[in-house]
Amino acid sequence: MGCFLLNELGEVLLELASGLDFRSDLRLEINEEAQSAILKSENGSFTVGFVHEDLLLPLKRNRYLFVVERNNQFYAMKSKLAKVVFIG
Amino acid sequence: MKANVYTGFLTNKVKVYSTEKGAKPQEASGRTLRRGLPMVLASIMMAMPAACNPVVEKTDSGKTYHVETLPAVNDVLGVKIYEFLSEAAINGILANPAPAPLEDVNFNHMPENQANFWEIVRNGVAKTNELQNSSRLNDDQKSEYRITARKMLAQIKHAKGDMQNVDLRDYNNLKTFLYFEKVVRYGDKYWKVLGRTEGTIDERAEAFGRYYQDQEMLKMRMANNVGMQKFAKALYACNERFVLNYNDSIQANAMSREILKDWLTNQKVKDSNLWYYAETDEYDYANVLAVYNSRGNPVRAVLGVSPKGDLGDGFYSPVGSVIIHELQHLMQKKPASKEKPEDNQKEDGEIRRQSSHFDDFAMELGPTLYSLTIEDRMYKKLHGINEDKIMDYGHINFGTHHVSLGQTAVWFGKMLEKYPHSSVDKVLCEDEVVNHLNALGNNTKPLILNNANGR
Repeated sequence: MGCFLLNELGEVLLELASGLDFRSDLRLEINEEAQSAILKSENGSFTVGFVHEDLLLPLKRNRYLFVVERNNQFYAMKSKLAKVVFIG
Repeated sequence: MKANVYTGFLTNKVKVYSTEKGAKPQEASGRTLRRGLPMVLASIMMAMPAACNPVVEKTDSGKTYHVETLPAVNDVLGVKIYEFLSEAAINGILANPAPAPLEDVNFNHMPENQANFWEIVRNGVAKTNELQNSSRLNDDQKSEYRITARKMLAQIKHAKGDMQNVDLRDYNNLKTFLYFEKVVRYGDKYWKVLGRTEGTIDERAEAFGRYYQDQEMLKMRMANNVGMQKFAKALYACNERFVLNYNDSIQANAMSREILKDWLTNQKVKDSNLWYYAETDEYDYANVLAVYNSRGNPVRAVLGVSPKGDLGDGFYSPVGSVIIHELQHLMQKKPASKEKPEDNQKEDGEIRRQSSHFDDFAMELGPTLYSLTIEDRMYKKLHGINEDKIMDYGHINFGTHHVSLGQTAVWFGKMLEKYPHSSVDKVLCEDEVVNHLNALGNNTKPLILNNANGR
């Protein structure tokens, strides 16, 4: 599960509830046409079923995404910047 | 989209998007959210997916919004979300820093993430403890290392109840990171870490970066308001904005020093070593804040100011006014490297640096309008003229039209009184101010705003 949030600066934050390898580089590959994406780390990936069209421009502009993993108490446990790449 | 997002914040609406197809973006109150963190909001909203919550439709000013009923949001965000490190936690870290192995050996001044932040901070504290046995430092110097480490730890801001979860956008946290990074790198080289000369500013200066987030917000607003961009460019290019001249300099310099004193008191800036005096003819960077924040160098700024208010090329601005202007720039600067965290692993040649004139104009707009306003008031005081009178100083020329400098000075003075924020960029972000400057730049009539607050 995950959700995107736009902060007041137009930066996009993706928050995840499940584990990803935060030690390696993260990369978000977006298929613009299908409005879907995959967040890849060295040892795993997270499929983003839907990227709302409102998010495409800020992602293109900033070229990075702030990824946060939270625990069940809603606190962010890990965070990392992911490179954003548009494919397709 | 940026415009929508930003406007959303000001109009008390912010959006959260699900990664599930078909789920509608959720909106919530921006006023409440400004007290919290976006990521906290995201957590709360994720815990209550759209399917579980009733969606109500609310109508506001002719627009219909889909609003989730989220009973827990106010309860959670109503309490203080952030807190400073407690005394007990500080003592605990100082006594036992328990640093993770130091993997980050780059000197890049920008924390990559929270783990990286604590890696540097805890290693910095461990180094500070280790330095207490150094034969290169005398007792006073060792004590200064200890006291500075404690001060820096005391300004760490973290999520309530979760020490690890620090706010990486907070300027004090960025400065703490810078300091401990320097300790890790330079160790007992006292002058590199704690040495200080007049006019040289580092992360320990309280004013450094204080309002950098307001500057980022202003850039967002300007990106969506072309007229405001035009105004900023035209104003900065207008040399007639230096409304005082050398004939008034003796009185004006004295008066400006009093204004500076009051300004420093209001801003709670106690550091008197933030600038040094430099003759304009002898020093290339007089009256300019030079910021050094490239890879491999400690982040710092240098400020030299002409004691006579000599700006070169025959222009004059009272010395106190120049210092206020440059210190406002110091407050706008992000206390971090100009490189982004993702550049950390890149080689020097791989980093593409982009310089933007737009950014420069966004930075100059607030301080320049502020200088114009206080110098207009000084001129009137020196010549016994009523403060509200509009003087004929000349015009801001846009090529297609022009705007009176005197009128702009009086108008901005009123805005400073109406919106008494400590940060001049925050004043510029007020809807009424944006609306007016945008109209001046575009040569159109300002929009009619709904109420006395300009919203």
